[in-house]
Parts: sequence; C-alpha cells; structure tokens
Amino acid sequence: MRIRKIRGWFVRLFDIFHRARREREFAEELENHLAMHIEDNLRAGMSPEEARRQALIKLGGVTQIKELHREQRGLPMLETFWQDLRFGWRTLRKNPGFTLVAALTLSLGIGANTALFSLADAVLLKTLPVENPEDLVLFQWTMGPNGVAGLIEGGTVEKDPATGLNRGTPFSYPAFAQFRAQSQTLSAVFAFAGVSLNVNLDGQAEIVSGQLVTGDFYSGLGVQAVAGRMITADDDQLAAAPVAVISYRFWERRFGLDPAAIGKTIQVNGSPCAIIGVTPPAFYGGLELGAAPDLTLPMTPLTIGQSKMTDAANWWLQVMGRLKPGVQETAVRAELERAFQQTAVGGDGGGARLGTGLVGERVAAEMESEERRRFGRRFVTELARLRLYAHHHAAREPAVRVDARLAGNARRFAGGAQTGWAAPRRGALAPEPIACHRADRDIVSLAGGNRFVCAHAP
Amino acid sequence: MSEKTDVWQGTLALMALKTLEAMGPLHGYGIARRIEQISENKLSINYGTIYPSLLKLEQEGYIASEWRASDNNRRAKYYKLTRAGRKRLAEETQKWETTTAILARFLAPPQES
Repeated sequence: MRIRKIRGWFVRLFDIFHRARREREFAEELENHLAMHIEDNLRAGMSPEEARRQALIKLGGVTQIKELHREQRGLPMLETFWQDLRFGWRTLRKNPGFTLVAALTLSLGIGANTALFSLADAVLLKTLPVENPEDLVLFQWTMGPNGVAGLIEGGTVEKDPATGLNRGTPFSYPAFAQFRAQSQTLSAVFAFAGVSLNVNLDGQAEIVSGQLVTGDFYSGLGVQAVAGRMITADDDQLAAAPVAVISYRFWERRFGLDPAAIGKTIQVNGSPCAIIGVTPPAFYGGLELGAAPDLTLPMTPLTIGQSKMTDAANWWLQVMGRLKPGVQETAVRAELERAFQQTAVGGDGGGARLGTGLVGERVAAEMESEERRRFGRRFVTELARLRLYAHHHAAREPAVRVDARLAGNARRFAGGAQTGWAAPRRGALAPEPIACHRADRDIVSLAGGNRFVCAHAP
Repeated sequence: MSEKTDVWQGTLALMALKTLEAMGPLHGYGIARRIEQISENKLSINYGTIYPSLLKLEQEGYIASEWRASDNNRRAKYYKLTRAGRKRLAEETQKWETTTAILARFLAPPQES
C-alpha cells in the first residue's frame, strides 16, 4: 500500500507540468457532470431552471470543488512557492532600495523564528473590499482596573500591557444611538455584532455564522449588492418586515447562485425572514476578525429584543464610523466623549474613556495581542510596526498589487475549515475565494503599493 | 478536523471502488448517483466531493480513466477498476467484515452457554 502512495506522489509531481491541461479537463468533466444531471432532472419532469438549480446545489460549490481538486493535483506548495520566488526576484531587481528593506525584514522574521498568526493576512485582505478603508474608525474605550462597564457580551476586551488599562470594543445600543445622532465628524455611524443563527431553508436546517447590523452598515462601508439590495436604514424601523442579506458563499452553497433566492423566505431562529440581497464574493461578509458570516440581519426590536435597545448596561455591539473628508479621528473622540460618558453605566462612564482607532491600527493591535495570547512567544516588535506602516499605506493605494510569497500555507485561515481568501496571484487585483482547511503557522504578511514583503518562516 | 475528513474520504473512495466493481466502467456522475442510490438515500452527499476522491484513487493506481464519446457529441471521463484496485477492494472488504464480526460479538446480548 505504501508503494501506491509513492506512486501517487510521483504522479502528482509530474502533473505539475500538465497543469493547464488537467485544469481544462476537469472543467470539462464537471460540465459534463452537470449536463448529465440536468438531463436526468429534465426527464424527471423539472423545468429547465429548476433542473439546473438542483443540479448545481447537489454538486456543491463549484469554486470549492475545483480548489479541492487542484490541491489533490500537483504539489501546490511546491508550485506556488517556486512561482512566487521567481516573481519576487524579478520585482526585487527592479527596486533596489526596497530590496534592502525586504532583506532586512526577511532576516528579522526568519531569524526571530516566530510563528505569527495569519490573522494579519486575513485582516489585510478583508479590509480591501470596502471603500476607502483608511477612513474607517472603530470605536473603543479604555478603562482603569477599577472601572465598571456593564454586562459585556461581545467585541474584544484586552489589557494594554504598556498602560495597564483595559481596552475594549463593545458598546451598548443606547451609546451607539447617541453617537449616531450626535456626530458631525462622521459621515456614517454603524454597528455590528456576530451571532449564531439557526437557519431553515426548504426543510433543511443548519446553524450558520451570522451577524446583526444597523442600517448604515453596508452604505457606510461602501459595499454594493451583487444581487438584490443591501440592508438600509429603513430596515431598522420597528414596522419593517424582517429581511436578511446573505453572503456570496452562502448563495452559491445553498442556492446554486439562483437569482430566485432573492425574495425567498427562510426561517431564522424560528421566524420568517425574506432574503433581499447578496454581498459580492470579495466581501467575506462581516467585520469581526475571524468571522465570515453567511447571513446578516438588521437590528430591530424583533431581532435583538426591546431590552437590548434600551439597556445602557449591556455592551454587546461594535461601532464603526466613516470620517468625513479632512477630519482627524481625534475630533471624533472630542465630539462624542461626553455622549459616551452620559450613556455609560452610572452616567460617569464607569471610569471609561472613549477612544477610536483607525481600523488598520486597531487591527494591528488586535493581531499583536492575539499572537501573544496564542503563541506566548516573543515577537518582533519592529516587524509588527513595519507591518502596520505597510498596511496603513497599502490601504491608500488605489490598485493593490500584491507581491508576496504565497506558500500554500499562507492561504490557510486559522480556526478550522472556513472560507478564506487567497492573496491574489500576481497581476490579479481581487482576492479569490478558496476553501481552507487547518490552521497553519506560516504567515505571509503582505502589503500592496509599496511592495513590502515580510515572510515569516516557521 | 482533518482526520474526520480523511476517514470520510477513505470511506467514499471505498464506496467508489465497490460501485465500479459492481457496475463496470462509469463516469463520476454515475458513481456519485449510484452511491447515493445504494445507501437508499440515507447518505446525502455533495456530488462534487467524489472528484477529489477519484483523482486520488487514480493517482495511486487503483482506477484508470479514459475519455469516451457519449451521445450528443459529448465526451465523458469514464473510470474503471484496475487489478490493483480489485485487490485493494477485496482487502478492505475483508477487513471490514472481520471488524464487523468482532464487534457483533461484543455487542450481541450475553449468552448463557
């Protein structure tokens, strides 16, 4: 049996040279599969649209299948590593100044032998498909050890080792409502929270990762629907009919990309809900680090309960805003600090002070603490700072060109099987969706624009 | 999580081999359909998952593939069992039957002799 396995590896090695052909052949095989299935469905009496839809659903996600097949072919790690090595070399030669920085960084990374978390990639990639991510701020608060917040049910809270203060992201709904009502410095203020949902569609139930958002979430981020429409402020109203937005992935998986999904009623936690739109494939669905929600609902008294909407002691949602042109984030803090103090427990903020962080910085900070928590190892602070710099500047580049060492591992996403996003292959502009498997410790940290390469070897 | 997938892939591969033995050369769609059928629809699988399994089996030499012209000028990829595949199937079947027999003895109600 061992010899069979060895034979397998050899075949895969040689297959590297026939990649294009194999890819084409498999695409043809899949086409035939669908054609045959559709024929059978037609013979069984289905309409052409239904026949096609059922065949697609039964097949599973085409992108995913192709990816799994691709991984079984060839030796993905080897191939992409070689490709990227060659590409990296070519790029480096064109930019000698950059070569020095990259070389230093590489040696810092490899020398320090840190296993850094791929949260970096996930976050960097994830901030790409929204409009002007550099104008987005995430609200946070800092509080002394004796501070009193309230019931904290979401977001993240961590202790800042430098100052000893607690720093957190969850707010109460009343606080959010005040921010939204009062802010002059922000063009949009919106909130979101992750939630697990029981979804029943055509008799098939499953638990999906979901989220609750307020009316300006999609417009504030600048995400356009790829089908149907997105949640708007009107959907927040009490009398509004319950609606839901689904992710592209979910649309592909449960509906086979059928446009009839729009308008379809599904059961969410026992209540009926109408699907109104689908987010684009590049928008993975939500904003919480590590989450890829399939279903998004508006926050209404029906979906979150009346008490959550009025209880200032329950801090459970995260708040983001978009800076108006020319506005600094410090202005936001100044403007809304008092409102925050007034809504927070006891009317004195419980000792908490408002802060905001540009999404990029905030994310870098969360990454660092996450890394520390997970691996407990010394990590290279210099590297982290450089990474932050790169991210900050990358976000401002209109076209993101990505140069990176794309080890197969770099596409993996910690946390088990989830859909992750591969950094685009050279020349491509948009990240591609792929299926991910286990957590891997390699990371490639990358930034477009100023062509900055950080490779962290395990 | 990956172990669970591996076990499943192994089981799927076995069922594919058995299907080919019983039905003769068949294409991926046919194999997937047949597997579901035989399980009397107790197994509901995404048909697409059969393809990576078939590829692996082919790479390891248990099955061989060939393109055949089907009706309406289409060509379909047919898979057939190789000698090594037959042997492997026999071995795995034997292993399975032994395991089941042993377990049956354990799980059977105690007998007074």
